[in-house]
Amino acid sequence: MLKTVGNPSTRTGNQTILNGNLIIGTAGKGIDFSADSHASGMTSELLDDYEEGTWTPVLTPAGGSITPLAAFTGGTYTKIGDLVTANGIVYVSSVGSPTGLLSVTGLPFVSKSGTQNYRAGTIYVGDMVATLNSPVQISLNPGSATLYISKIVNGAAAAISADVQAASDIRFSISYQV
Amino acid sequence: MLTKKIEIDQIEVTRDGHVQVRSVTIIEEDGVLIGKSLHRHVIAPGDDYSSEDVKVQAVCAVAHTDKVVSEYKASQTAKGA
Repeated sequence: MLKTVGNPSTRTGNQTILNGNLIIGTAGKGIDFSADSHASGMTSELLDDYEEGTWTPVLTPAGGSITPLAAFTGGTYTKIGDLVTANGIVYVSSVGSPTGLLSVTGLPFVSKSGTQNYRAGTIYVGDMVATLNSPVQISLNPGSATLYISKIVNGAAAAISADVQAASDIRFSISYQV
Repeated sequence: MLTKKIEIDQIEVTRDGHVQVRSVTIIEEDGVLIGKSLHRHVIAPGDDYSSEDVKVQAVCAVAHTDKVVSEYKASQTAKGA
């Protein structure tokens, strides 16, 4: 039986929901952890969101083209509070002389704005061109839903699109605030 | 009978003009929900939105003014993108 209680209610002891979910009926409401001690930089103690789903990473070079193999290309995300973790894989089916900056569009959420919010992720690359001998990195700018993949040459980020070939396998994960 | 439908259930516009779209895939058997999954994508100011759902196109048309697009592109250039 559904029972609606209009006034705040307090119960002691553990509460068990035998068969069903705890449903937050209003956006922005959630579980308040403010009874716990907190760090000096704390900005919120309210867990007010959870979501999981899929997204589609699209690998885009500045010039030329990269075509993915759809069956091995995809992404998942989990959002807990304001923290999004997005994972993805792109398996390259064919390329058309890709050059320049390599971006990944399609992220599920826009990252938080502000100069403190540049983020880097973890990345694996396989079956790139044989001449690629540089470390590879992936990054996200504030206020953006686009990842950038680059290689490190002489201590700086350099374009990597020309190092992608058919059968290249690019996997990555990044966590960021929204 | 199993049915599958995909609906857009959230369209959000961020302060800088990004349009966040959430679609839900719903699987029903004889009208009873047996499963659903979420899929998200984001349309940045200046992106081509002509292949989006008509509701999303309408939001993008309002949100992606010339001023919003130029400010977004300038901000990304400043960040080295």
